[in-house]
Amino acid sequence: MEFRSYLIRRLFLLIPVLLGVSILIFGLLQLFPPYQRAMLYVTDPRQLSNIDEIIELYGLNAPVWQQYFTWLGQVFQGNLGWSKVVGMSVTDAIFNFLPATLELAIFSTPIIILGGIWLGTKAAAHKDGLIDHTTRAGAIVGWSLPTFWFGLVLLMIFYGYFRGLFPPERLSTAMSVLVNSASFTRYTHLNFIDGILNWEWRVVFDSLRHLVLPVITLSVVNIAFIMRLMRSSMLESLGRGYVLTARAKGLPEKQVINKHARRNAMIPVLTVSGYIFAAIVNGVVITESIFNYKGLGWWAWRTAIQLDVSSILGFALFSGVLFVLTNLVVDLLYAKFDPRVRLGGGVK
Amino acid sequence: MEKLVQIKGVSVNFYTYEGVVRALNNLSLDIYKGETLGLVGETGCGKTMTAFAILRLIMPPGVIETGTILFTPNGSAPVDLLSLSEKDIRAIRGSKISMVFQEPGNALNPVYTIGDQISEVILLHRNNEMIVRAIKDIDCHLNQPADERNKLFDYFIRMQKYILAAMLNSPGALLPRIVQKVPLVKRLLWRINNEAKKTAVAMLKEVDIPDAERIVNYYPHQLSGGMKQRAVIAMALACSPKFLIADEPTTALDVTIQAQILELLQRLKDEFNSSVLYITHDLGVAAAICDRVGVMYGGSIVELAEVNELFVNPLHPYTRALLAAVPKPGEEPMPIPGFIPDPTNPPAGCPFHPRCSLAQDICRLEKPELHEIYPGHFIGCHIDAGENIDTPSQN
Repeated sequence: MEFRSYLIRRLFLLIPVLLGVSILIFGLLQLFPPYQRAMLYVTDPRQLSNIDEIIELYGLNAPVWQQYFTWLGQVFQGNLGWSKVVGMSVTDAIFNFLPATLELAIFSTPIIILGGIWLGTKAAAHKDGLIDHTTRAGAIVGWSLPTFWFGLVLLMIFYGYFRGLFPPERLSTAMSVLVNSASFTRYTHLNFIDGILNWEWRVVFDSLRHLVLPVITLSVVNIAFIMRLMRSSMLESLGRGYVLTARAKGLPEKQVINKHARRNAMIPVLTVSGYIFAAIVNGVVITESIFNYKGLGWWAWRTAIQLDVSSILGFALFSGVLFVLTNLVVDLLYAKFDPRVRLGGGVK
Repeated sequence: MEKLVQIKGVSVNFYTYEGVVRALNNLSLDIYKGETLGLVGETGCGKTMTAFAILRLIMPPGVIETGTILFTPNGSAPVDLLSLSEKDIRAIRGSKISMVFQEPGNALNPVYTIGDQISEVILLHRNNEMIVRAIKDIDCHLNQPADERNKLFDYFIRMQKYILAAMLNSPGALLPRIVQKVPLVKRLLWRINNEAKKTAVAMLKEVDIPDAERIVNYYPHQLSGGMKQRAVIAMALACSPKFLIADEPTTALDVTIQAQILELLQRLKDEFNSSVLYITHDLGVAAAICDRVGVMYGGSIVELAEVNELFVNPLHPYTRALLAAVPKPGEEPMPIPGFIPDPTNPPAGCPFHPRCSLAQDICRLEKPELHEIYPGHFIGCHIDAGENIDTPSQN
């Protein structure tokens, strides 16, 4: 009951935040001249020849607030403009590139979050022991590795030395032909899920093979981050009175750590986990460009270097909304984990 | 009187970077059945360490170096708590010996309800009792007239009863082990948790928490300090321990609440027929509720006597200084000169000699043993009792 009212409160708060995001992005848009802004209302390459008509039609010389509502109306209709870099509408581009990035996120986030929490807990439970020193040294190394360098080294070893064991890109040529053929239905555009649904194990295997290196690259850096955070949070929690109480009750050490200490230590880690997930879904530009893995990050990078205004703004809008939604989920998880958030303080 | 706990020559060291901290120094202490023994002394004198040593809650870098702690619960042979296996000491913690901590706000886990936290200790030590009650509950249902019952539900609870009986009779068998481990199947055992919760409510009523059925579902932050401390006491007494260690349970509370909690502890102690080790730095509280009082300094007991004897006729210079330091109306309190000794580098001989006005040569060389001056009155001081008595006592 109390959780539901918290949820409703949070959902109402979402409206002003999303409006704020849209105003910010629209404000960015005002930095461009009308000709470039007109690209946002193009849905078809044939319209590019009569840009002046579009400027007239969407009132791009009208007062700013009028333009804002015209633009917002278009956004609500799912019209974000034309991405000339990839030759499709921005909405299509986002939906085209999102599955690839989602695939990365689906595999790397659980490794990062669960692995980081597990390692952090182990390290804190064996403070100053062998496990602690090893994981801490590992975390410092992992956190310090530059992604571009680490990704390239992985490619050199597993693609170069081992003759294409874990190749870059999303699928091998043969498999992408198969995936795009008429007999293969693309339900989700997530290759490994579509492969399972189509009972094409070659596709599943091939897509997993291509995911290994980018997932490792992403995981190594971020797992180090979560692990360090979890360790310090856990150490703080282990020093608290309730841990002593739990021990004095006669609970086995495993339960003391996993039940009493960890649940409290998880709270700060949750926030960071949410942002890591959002950041990965938003496209990991460096990792995706090194592995030529055509996801959102790759697309964002291409559009940015060619100043494809409509794509950049469409991407910004997508990221903004995604961050706001992730924040919502994190807040709800907070409430789930910590009754003090859910109930508010001082209910007597 | 029978001895419940006999602490003999216990030393605890902490191996820190600054050096070895001697937290307990050859401490010996007996606690009798049914008594309240007070431990008083300044911060850092080892009161809490004594409690932790009894429960073996000293965490690295702390190590219990020497000594034995014999625990003799009703009628059984004494066991040495310090040589028990980890599993055996866990079975004693929370069930036969339990502890109430100083800060109730800190001692309760903020993310679990009061009921969950009390149930936890009940399920840990009184699981079989709960199973028996759950089975009784099922029998009660099955004994109702047949036409009022749902057939399908009948099969279901018969299965529940079968599982519960298996848990009771052969806890090591495959079925009970599976049911207790597999996530969704675990829910079949809800009756046990229910019984534990009922017991938790009964415990909350026992500690005078009003509206216990509602409070049991509250989180710690929803309760006031006094209520939290009552909940902590309920948790400590949930398995009717023979020995309760109360580590400054009223220090964090205001005076009116303190009086209520003290009264509650007194009443429950008699009700459960247990002994209490009451740790405090408040001499007034010690005088009010203890049968005997031990004064600690530098990790060992320096004076131990009946409560009246100690306050009327304090013999150890430290006890006298401590009593003189208590503020009284119309009098200047007399602070004890100097500071408590550096625990990494304690003074040679008697640890109190640098602050003692009566210190003599022998005090600097030799640590005094605790010895009986009058029947039941022990002091650890080289100065002869006769010499001590000629200075008038403070009370």
